[in-house]
This record gives sequence, C-alpha cells and structure tokens, in this order.
Amino acid sequence: MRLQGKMLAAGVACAMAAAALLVPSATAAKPRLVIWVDATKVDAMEAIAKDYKAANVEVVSMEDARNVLQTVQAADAPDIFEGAHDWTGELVSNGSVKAISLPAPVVAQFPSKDIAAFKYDGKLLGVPMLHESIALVMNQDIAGKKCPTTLENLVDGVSAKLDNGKINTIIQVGPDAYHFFPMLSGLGGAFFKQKANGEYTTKTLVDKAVDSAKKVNILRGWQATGLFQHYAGSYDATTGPFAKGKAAYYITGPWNSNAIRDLSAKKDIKLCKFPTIVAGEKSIPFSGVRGLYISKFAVNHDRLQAAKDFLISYIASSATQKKYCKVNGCNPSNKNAGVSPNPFTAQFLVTYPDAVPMPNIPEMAAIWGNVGDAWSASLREEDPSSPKTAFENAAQNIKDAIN
Amino acid sequence: MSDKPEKEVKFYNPKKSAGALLIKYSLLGMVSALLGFAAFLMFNVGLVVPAVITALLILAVNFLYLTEKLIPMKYLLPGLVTMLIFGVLPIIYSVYIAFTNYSTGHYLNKEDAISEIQETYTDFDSFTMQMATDSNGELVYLLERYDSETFEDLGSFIGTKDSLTEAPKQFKLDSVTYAPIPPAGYTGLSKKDASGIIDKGDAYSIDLGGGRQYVVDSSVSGFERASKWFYDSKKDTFTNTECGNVYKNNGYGSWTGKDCETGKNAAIPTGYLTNVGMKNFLDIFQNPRYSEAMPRVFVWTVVYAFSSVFLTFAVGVGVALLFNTPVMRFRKVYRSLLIIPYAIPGFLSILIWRGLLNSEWGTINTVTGLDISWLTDPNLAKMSILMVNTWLGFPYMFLVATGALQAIPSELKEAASVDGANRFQVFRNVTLPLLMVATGPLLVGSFSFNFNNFNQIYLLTEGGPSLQNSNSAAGATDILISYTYKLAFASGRGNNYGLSAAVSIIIFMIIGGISFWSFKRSKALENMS
Repeated sequence: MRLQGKMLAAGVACAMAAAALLVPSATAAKPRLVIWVDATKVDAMEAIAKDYKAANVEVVSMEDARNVLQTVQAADAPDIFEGAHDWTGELVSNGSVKAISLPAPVVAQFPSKDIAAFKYDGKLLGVPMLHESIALVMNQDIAGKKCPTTLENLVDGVSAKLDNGKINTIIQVGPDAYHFFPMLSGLGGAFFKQKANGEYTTKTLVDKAVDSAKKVNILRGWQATGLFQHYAGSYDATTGPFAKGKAAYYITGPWNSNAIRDLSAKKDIKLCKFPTIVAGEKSIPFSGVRGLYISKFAVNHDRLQAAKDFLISYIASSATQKKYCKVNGCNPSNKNAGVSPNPFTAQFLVTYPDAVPMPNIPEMAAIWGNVGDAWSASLREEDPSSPKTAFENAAQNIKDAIN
Repeated sequence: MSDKPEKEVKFYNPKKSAGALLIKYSLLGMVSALLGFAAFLMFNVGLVVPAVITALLILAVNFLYLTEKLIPMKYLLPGLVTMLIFGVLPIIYSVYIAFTNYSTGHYLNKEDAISEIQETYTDFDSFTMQMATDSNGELVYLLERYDSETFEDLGSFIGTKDSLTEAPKQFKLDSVTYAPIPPAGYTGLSKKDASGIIDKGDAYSIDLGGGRQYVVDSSVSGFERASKWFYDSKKDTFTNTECGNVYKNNGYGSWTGKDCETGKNAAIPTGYLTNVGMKNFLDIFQNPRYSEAMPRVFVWTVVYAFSSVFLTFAVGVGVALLFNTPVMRFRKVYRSLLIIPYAIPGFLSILIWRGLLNSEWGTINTVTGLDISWLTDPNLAKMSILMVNTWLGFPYMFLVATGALQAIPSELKEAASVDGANRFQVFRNVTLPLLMVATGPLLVGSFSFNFNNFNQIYLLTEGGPSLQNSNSAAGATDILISYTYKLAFASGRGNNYGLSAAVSIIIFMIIGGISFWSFKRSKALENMS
C-alpha cells in the first residue's frame, strides 16, 4: 500500500517533469504576448491573434484595465492592453505605458485625429483600432424624412406632436456632458481651445457656450419647450422613450447599433448630423478612439520588442483592422480598412468627419463632472439663477482643476 | 496524574468520537494548508512580513485547537483575526495613505519616475528600418527617412556607428512596414534577430549633431530624437532642453517650472509617491476648492444623520405603541407586513425610490399629475432623502421598540395612572425614559451608521443636484462620506487617495468623538434609572 503510494507519487513527479520539459520546448521558438481586452472585444482580438505568426498571443478579458494595472503583480500583468484614448494622460502620469513610434508611412494610413487622440506630451502611446462618435438618431415616422439642418427646424417639425401628446419629449439624451457636447459646441463652447494642428491647449472655452444674452435665451427656450428630458435618471433609464415612440430623436453612439437595427424593423430610422444651433457654429460630437497600449510590464517580461513588432507590423495594418472590425462590428481606424459590416454602425460615421477627439488629460474626471453639473443646473426649469453663472463656475473649476 | 479533582470541574470535556476527531483534524489540516499556500504566495511576490505573520498564524491556530486549554480563545480567535485583517489593517493603511500624495501621477517611486521622465523625447524625422550586415559582417541600418508631420519621403539612408549617409540608390520598401528591402551586398536580419540585438542593448545610436540622435525604436523603425528633459541629480531639478526652463522639485512628489509655450507654472506629468506630511489635512481646510464646501457638507451630514435617527425612531415608536394595544386585531399580520421595507435589500428599494421619484416619468408624479422635482431641486432632494431613509429605517426602530415596550413592567404604568397621570404623562415620564435606556446605544449606533450612509445618498441622488454657485464637487445632498468619494475619484486629476484618506480620518474622529460622548451620556441615563 505504502509502496504503491510512493510509486504513484514518483510517477506523477516524472510526468510533471516531462511536461515541464515539453512545454517550453514547444513554445520557446515564439515569444508569448499577453493582451488584456475589454470583454466585448475578446472575440475580435482572438480572431486576429490566432493568425499572428511571430508570437503566441494570449487574449485575456479584463474590465477596467487601467486601474487593475496599478495593483497587478508583474507575473500576471499584460504586455499589451486595449483601452480608450482618453486614458492616455492618466496612463502616462502613472508610468503605466511605453511609447510606441509608428513609422510615418503607417501613421499616414490613420486619420490625423485618431493619432492625435493617443498622443500625450509629444509621445504616441497607442495604436488606434476603431473610432466612434455619437449621432442624432431620428424616428422618421414622427420627424419626417429629412435630417433637420437647424435646431429651429427640428423643433418646428415635431412641436405639434409634442403639444397634442403624441410624444413626450423631442430629444432623448443621456444626462452627461459627453452626450451634451454637440449642444455645447453648437453654442460655440468647447472643453479646450485647439491649436491649428488640432492639439489641445489648457485654455477652457466652456463658458463661451453662454457668453451672450441670446444664447441664454436659447437655453431658457429649451427649458420651456421640453426639448430634452430632465436628467435625474441614469443613462439606462433614458433608452426607453425612443424605443416606445415617445421621443422623436435619440442621441446615442454605435454601441447601441444592434438595438437600433432591431428597432428599425418596426420604425423608419435614420442617422443624422447634429443641427446648427447658432449660425456660424458647428454642432459636433466628440470622437472616441480605442486602441492598443504597450504596458510597462512588457519591459519586465523582456517582451517590449515583440510587443512593438506586433503593433507596428500587424495591428496597424489595414487587413488586420478590417478583420478585427468584421468580428466586432466596429468602424476601423485605418483609412484603408473600410467600414463596419453593421449598416447602422457605418451610418454613425456621418458625424465622425467633424468630430473632435475627447481630450486625454488626466484631469478629465473633474471636467466631465463640472460640465455635466453646469448642464443639469442650466436645464432645470425651477432654477432661478442664470445658466451663465453655471457655465462660468464650471470654467473656473476647470481652470482650478488643471493647475 | 494527580489532577483528577481539577478535571471534574472542567465544564468543557466532551467525549470525542473518532468521527468528530477526524472532522476536526481534517478541517484544521485544510485551514493550515490554505494558510500555508497563502504564505507561500506572499513570500513569492516579496511580501516577507505578511508571509511570516501568516506562518505564525498557522502555528497559533494548530496550537490553539490541539491543546485542551485556552478554551475561550478557541471561540474568539476567528473573530479576532478577521477583525485585525478587515478592521484594524485598513485603518492603519488609511492613516498611512493620508500622509502621502498617493494619487494619479504619483504611483511610482522616485527612481522610476526619474527614469520615466528621462525617457521622454522630442521626435523629429521618422525612419523605417531594416537591420542588415554589410559585406564585412558589420551591423548597418538601412533606413528610409520621412517627415513626421507631412509623411513626405525624404530618401534612403545607410546608418553606421559613426554616420548617417545617403544611400546611392533609393531602396525598395516592404508593403506593410515600409522597411527597406536589402539591396545587393547587404544581408537583412530577421525581425527576431533584430529584436534580439535591441534587447541585448547592442543597437547603437547615431549622433546627428545638435543634441539629436538617430535612435532605434523597434525592429522596423527608428527616430531622429532629442531628450526632452535633462536631470541634474545634485540639485534634483529637470531642465527642459527645448527652452532651458528649470523644473524644481516642489517637495510634494512633482517637478514644477514654467511651461515653454505658455510661460505658466506647470508640472511634469509624471511624479512620484512620497510622504507629504500634513499637506492633505491642511488642504482640506485651506484650499478653497475643498474647504469652501466643508462646512456646508458637514452641517448637512449632521442634520441628515440626526433627522434620520429622529424620524425613524419617532415613526418606529409610534407604530410600536399602536401595535402594543391589545385590542387591535390581526396585529401579527400588520407587524409582519411592516417589516417588509427592512427585509428588502436597501440597494433595491433605493433604486426603486429613485425611479418612483423621477420628476419626468416617475410613478409618483405621473399618478398624481404633479410636476414636482423631487430629486432635482436642492431642498426637495434633501426632503426626499429623509423621506426615503425614514421609510427604510423605521421598521428597525419599530422592532426594537416593540421588544423594549414589552419589557417595561406594566405595574409602573399602572402605578403612574393611579397617581393621576394622564396617558401622555405616562408616556412622557415613564415609558419614554425606560425606552431610551434600552434603545439609547442603538440610537447612537444608528446615528453613526447614517453619518456614513453612502449607499442611500449615492444611489438616490449621487449627491446631486449640483449647486451653481459653488466651486466644489459637492452637490446639495452630499454628506461627508459621499463627498470623500467624489474627492477621491471625480474632483481633480484622476484618483486622489491621499486627500480622501485624510477626510475619512477626520470623519472617523468625528464619529468616534460623538459615539464616545453619547455612550457616556447613556451610561449616565442608565445610572439614573
């Protein structure tokens, strides 16, 4: 009995030793690359990873990678991770990422704003893979066939239906500064002033949105007509009315493309640019870019070069990006890689050419909060104080926050 | 042995069956194995002190449960250990954090931060590259030069250790990476070999004059670049090589100086983690961004916690008194129904209330036809919060009061009414004081709980609505703990753990002080009765 046990143990030990010898010899030829991606992109990443010949790419699903990176042990850390471009500033400040230098002819294949989105302090930190921006989703059964060109047109087109109770609200929109940015830019505001080459300066233009009595009146008009919904609810709570046909328009992004495609079976749906609010000012959304970053741990793992090779000679290529977006349904960032196979996601590109990248400085949390607060304060009917104060305060707070 | 009489007085001497022993030993073995594995893992990642503590814990556990002595400890140890791990350790850690600048941009140690900043470059022309060996077997770079801004092709070059010279003939380029294809006389290195050379540190840089170098970046690319920062280790300063501005260490883990372009004060984005002394505490009271809202938030926190206790207690006692009347029928049914708000998890019911109170499509406004902004008007939002908290909290007070009321001897009340007291006087002078003796400590506990009732505030209003005339992140209904959360995650530059740890220590001291004071008072109350 005892002998048997010992023999068994010896057998197991031998088997394990053999396995230990076999495993490295099978993989030693190729380096290993560990990639963390958002859960929604695992399939797409796996689809392209399996065709990469120069390394064994392991795809790991990871939520909130940028914060997990602060606490992870080197052995479990990724060499590359997928994320949004507006993490860039924070990642650089924390020393979590390594700069990537894409050769100029490769850079030329991407829209310059996608590259600018991943630049911080002069360094390029990520390789863009997909880009997205929000658009005005129109229910043509309610609002007619043509996209409205001005906000006045938009309101005139549906105000009768609002008065007789056919719809509850004109535009359904999430309660945050991101979804309200087209209105901020339409009024002439911006988060930050941009240089001629598109780079952001630190001068905030948030208060420019309400710098005249005329603009204040426009905001007061929005309060009175019930143009937008009131915003005590969460973003999720706002998806209902449009689906039920109780809102004529809906401001959302390509992440809702599947829901919109399903709706389009019952309703006539079209995606539009944002209408002009004040003559001479463009109503434009933010563009968001997602791409791959090289983590600082690639250095610890001695895989920095392997990671760079993967990004420069494989990920950045149009063929790879096309395949990635075919699985994921996204609009690829590489200009030669076409558009999303989902017709509605492709339609969302209508607002992309004018869109400006979300700023990527580490102080963004404060800016989203302050601008969001200014909107909800300005659009509250019962609030006696002027929207002007709200936005001036927001501008002041942003100035304080970034210094 | 001579300890026979002693054995007889032992109260704990169950006869152990073989099965019970087996269970005991296997449980003990499992715990030891788990802890041993944990200690091993800790040791592996360099946490030596925790590993040693865990190892000692294994010894302690085995000793304790194998010996016949130390019986009370057998019951206390699991509780003590978990209290140390989940109670005391976080407090120690919070205190430590409160005296550091632990926040976004300050996670690295100083050494890493310096090397991180030194790796910042200003890039000029961009190159695609193919490493190759020439006819002598020397390593050369075959390069195609591009303008970084316009992407214009600036021609082909050959790089050696000493110089960068224009190639006699334009190279052909790879279709994906645009790396030159080696012409006759050169043998190209594979990407893997090239990477190996870079990893070994054998890839040389080429001096291009004017502080600029050609630097290999990957196996297929390189850049003409200049270091952006020069570090002077004696003075602990960084000099910006573009304009010569000096950035000095500000003593709080950052280097600050004048920005080249704007001339304004700026900091290098990357800083390091360091001890900042009392700075976080001083900031709370001196930096207007934080201090402005502090008194307002503090007052509302006290009002909120006090009103919540008062309202839940008043309603709870009222209902308990009502159901304490024996004449009422179906008392048990009513009592059970009243527990429901207490029985449903708060997370759910608060979110349901949030939906009900929504001014646009909430049930309350829709059904009554009213147009009241329950959650978006600063004052109404405070009322709504108190209302919801009363609804959530009164069943607890009702339960407690019901029990306490039944414990009050009815002779006392009868004696009082014989003495001529009316019902109110009986309640005021007999029932209530006795009730307070029994429930006093619970009220204090309830006060502390509500003082830190993050869930209710955050789930119902998220601290909102925001205030227009305020320079702070605090909304109209933010209490100290939800404000702390905002300070930590949403008020400035990413996450600011140091500052929020400082606020939480202040909260801890406030609650500790209040609890201490009121327990002393309730003790006095007990002595009176």
